[in-house]
Amino acid sequence: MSEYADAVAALRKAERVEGAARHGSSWYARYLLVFGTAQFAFIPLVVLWHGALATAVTMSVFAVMVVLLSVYAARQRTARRHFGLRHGLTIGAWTLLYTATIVLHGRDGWQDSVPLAVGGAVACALPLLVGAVFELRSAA
Amino acid sequence: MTEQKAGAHPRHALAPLLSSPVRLSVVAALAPLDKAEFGFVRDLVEVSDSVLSKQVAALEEAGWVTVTKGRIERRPRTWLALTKEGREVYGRHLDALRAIAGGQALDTPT
Repeated sequence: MSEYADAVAALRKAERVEGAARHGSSWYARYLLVFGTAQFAFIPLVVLWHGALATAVTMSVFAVMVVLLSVYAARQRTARRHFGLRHGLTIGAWTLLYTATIVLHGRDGWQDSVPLAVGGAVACALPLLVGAVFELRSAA
Repeated sequence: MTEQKAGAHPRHALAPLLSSPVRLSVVAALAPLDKAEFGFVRDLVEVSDSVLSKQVAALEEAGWVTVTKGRIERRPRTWLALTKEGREVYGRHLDALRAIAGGQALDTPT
């Protein structure tokens, strides 16, 4: 084979393998999709359901979800480039928005607020779902 | 007859260690990742454990790949990762291949 043909073949091979590696590391998109979608149930429960039973149930469900997602992440065979930074930024944004929702919920006029429940759910889901879309696009 | 100036042709920028298709594939598999499990790279490159071990040892000796051993749920795991130098060499190797191929538009590694 000519030098030119060898170079083209090597480039195509490298491109194919890189693409397969990206595709094989798209598990984080699924992680973010599950966590993001769960916000639409979790945030309204936190904002609208009160009492000791409500706190116990919502916190237990949240803890189980975090544990399951952590186990899922720990079992994966790959970590995408700059994964730590991406995950830190995404979860950091979620933490800020979740804290803002809870702080607002504690203020007069926002308790049992349906707009806060809906707005908080959308706000908390947003960084996670945007992250999932970004991960899916970069895996394609 | 004119003598070709040493290093003028893009082939001189190729990394000899990456002339092996398996080693090139291993590095390509690790390029978009922070790290990958040994078994993931083995399955992707479609080689046996022993072949991959041998090629990874050569890349590790060159300082282009790091090998880390650990355990998850009591199961041993071996993680492979490209070093900064390995990434740079791979980037230069791809640039040289593109130059030889006449600048064909193929994706660059991230």
